[in-house]
Amino acid sequence: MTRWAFHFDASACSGCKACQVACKDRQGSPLGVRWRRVYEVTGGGWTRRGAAWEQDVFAYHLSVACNHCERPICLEVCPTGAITQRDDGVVLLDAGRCMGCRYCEWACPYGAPQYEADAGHMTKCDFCVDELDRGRPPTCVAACPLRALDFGDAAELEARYGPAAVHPLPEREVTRPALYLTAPRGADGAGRVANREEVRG
Amino acid sequence: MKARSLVAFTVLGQTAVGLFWAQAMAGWAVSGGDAWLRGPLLLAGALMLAAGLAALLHLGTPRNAWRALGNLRTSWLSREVALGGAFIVGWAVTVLARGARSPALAAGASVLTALAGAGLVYAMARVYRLRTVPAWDTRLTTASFFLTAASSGALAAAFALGSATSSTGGTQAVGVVALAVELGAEAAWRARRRAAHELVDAGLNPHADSDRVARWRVGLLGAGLLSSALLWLGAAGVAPVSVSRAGVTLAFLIVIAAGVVGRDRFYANYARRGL
Repeated sequence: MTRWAFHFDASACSGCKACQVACKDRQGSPLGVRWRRVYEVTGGGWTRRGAAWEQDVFAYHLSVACNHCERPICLEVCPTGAITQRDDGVVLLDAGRCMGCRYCEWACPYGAPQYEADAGHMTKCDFCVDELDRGRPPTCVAACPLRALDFGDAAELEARYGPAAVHPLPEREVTRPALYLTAPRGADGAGRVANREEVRG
Repeated sequence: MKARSLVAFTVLGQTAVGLFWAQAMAGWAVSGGDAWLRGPLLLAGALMLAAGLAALLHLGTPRNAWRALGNLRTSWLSREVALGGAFIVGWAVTVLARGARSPALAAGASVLTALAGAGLVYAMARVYRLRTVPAWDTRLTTASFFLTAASSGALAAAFALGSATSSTGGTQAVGVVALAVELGAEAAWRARRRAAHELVDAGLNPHADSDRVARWRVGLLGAGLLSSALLWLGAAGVAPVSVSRAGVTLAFLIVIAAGVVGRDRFYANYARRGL
């Protein structure tokens, strides 16, 4: 059976946020709630070598939503059983069962569960399951103008792209995300998130 | 992280459990046990109910709180709720058995409730032992929750009785040891926070740790240790120390304040791996 996963090419993403906006537009989510977020990671600097100056400044973007992990820590910690996983790997949240304790938000290393304060419960990316079930791509994937975001069967994506690591995403073993990456320059850990406050809203 | 209701829940809940342990330790040694029925036992229940109410305040949808038992298989939060419920039921049975002058039932219920309380404190700690949150995922978390229960429970017992008596000497000794260990563990916590900070993106928690808060915590723990030691010396008859009711109340409040400051800092140091 197909197990859905995302592929994100961080070397191609320009940080336009079309994916984030398309997702918000589709879900009609309130201010501050973003099922998909685009982080900007920057690093490097200028160093003097003799009479010359050299620079290794870099920046790249990470478009991150729920990664529908193989070991979803949100599902593991949720006390009410509001979070479930389909056979195709998609992790779903039933808002009607959620008590709004925000424990999943603490635990998820990708910030995927988002709290909707007015409603008093969590929400999260559902991989646009209704689109998937109709054979169509998730909205974020369809919206990406640079084809930096893609989706497909996890085994195929892993065979094609391998388990690349991109800072500051956690080690794969923590939750085994259904996310495969093409690493950009500087992805080895020297950078830091420059727009954290902007993402927090 | 704004966690006032969780600070209240954990500190009050652990104090309730520690107080129940104290009355269980000393209750068997007190003939008749009436003082223990009126004071510490009732206070333990009141504190646990207050803790439960504080926990409800944390929820976005309290009407769904009953669903919290829905994932006992993998969620420590679910188990925490179950053990909290078991503690309250055990406490109620103990009160009723003591009221009905049924010592055998009271002793049995007391032992089971004390065990449920230990389970509750352990589950409380495991809730925070998340593999994605390095500052919390340490045995120090578990140790610190048990130490809070022991130290604040001992002082709560003296507070409920209005004084430390010879029958509470053992309880007060446990409280003194717990406070001394908590004070000693401060250095270990500091080292842990530094190590954990290396594992997360620095921007995740710009407010982590502060020297001012650390000084408050150490000062309060030191004052709590001193007053607790005086209570113990008087209760055990080691020295001719007599502490007034106001003094006992002050000592209790100091230890609770140390717990609150420590727990508030615990939540403030939240920073997860990743984004």
